[in-house]
Amino acid sequence: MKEFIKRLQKAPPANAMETAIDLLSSVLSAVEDEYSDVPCRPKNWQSDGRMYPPKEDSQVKCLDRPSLKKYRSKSHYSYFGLNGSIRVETKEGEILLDKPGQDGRTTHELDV
Amino acid sequence: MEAMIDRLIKLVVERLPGSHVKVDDPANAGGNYWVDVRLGKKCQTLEFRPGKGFGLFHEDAGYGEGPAEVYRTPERATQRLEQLLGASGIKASRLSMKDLRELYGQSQVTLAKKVGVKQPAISRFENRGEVKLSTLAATVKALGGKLEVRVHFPDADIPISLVASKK
Repeated sequence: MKEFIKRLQKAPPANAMETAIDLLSSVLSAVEDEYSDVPCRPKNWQSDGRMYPPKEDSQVKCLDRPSLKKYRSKSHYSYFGLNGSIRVETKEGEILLDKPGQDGRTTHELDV
Repeated sequence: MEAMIDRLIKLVVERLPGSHVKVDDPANAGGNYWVDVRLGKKCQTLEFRPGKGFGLFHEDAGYGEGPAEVYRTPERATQRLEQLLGASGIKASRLSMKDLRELYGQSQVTLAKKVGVKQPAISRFENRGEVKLSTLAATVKALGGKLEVRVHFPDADIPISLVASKK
């Protein structure tokens, strides 16, 4: 998880929501390919010991924030902004990553 | 809200007094619900997939990792939550045979009768973990389930038979 966050932080910022989701997915997959022995089988629902990027069916409501998509996993929320910003936080609210989009704004600076 | 989620919440509130339930609703129709059940300092998370059931995560699940256990009914999911959050307070990790027996509401005596062994055999099985696969299969069958043995390789997942196939 630390390596994933470190690489994602270092990566060039994305300029749109879809590229931000692709960026997170590619960084996570690269880290798992490198560090995990588990082959990538995203269609499996049950755990195989590998971390996977957010899937569309795990998108949850994000009230009053039309510029954001919010995804849930067991212990984390991941937010993606229309400007390419990414925020990953624990469900208790600890921020693990707050990466601005290419325009310099973070997810929490959108819709305000 | 999905009827299965309503039912789960009702059961949790009844059976785990003092618990707090928080639900993250899906953004899109047909998406997954996320249910956090907190009791004191303990918390368990369930992911509900319509048509599939309630996924329960083990303690060490990482970012985006799937659930380790799946329960198809709110009743069984709540029974598992009772094991994990209730007085016994066991950690969410692989179920022991004792956990499994209790999850399906059987005493050692009743299970022994169904399997056709004596109660001390079930006790030894649960405490020592040494058991013939045929006894394990009979025990799981007596609980209403089916034992499956599956091997995982880097390039394959294969269910295996425990007896050699006839040529």
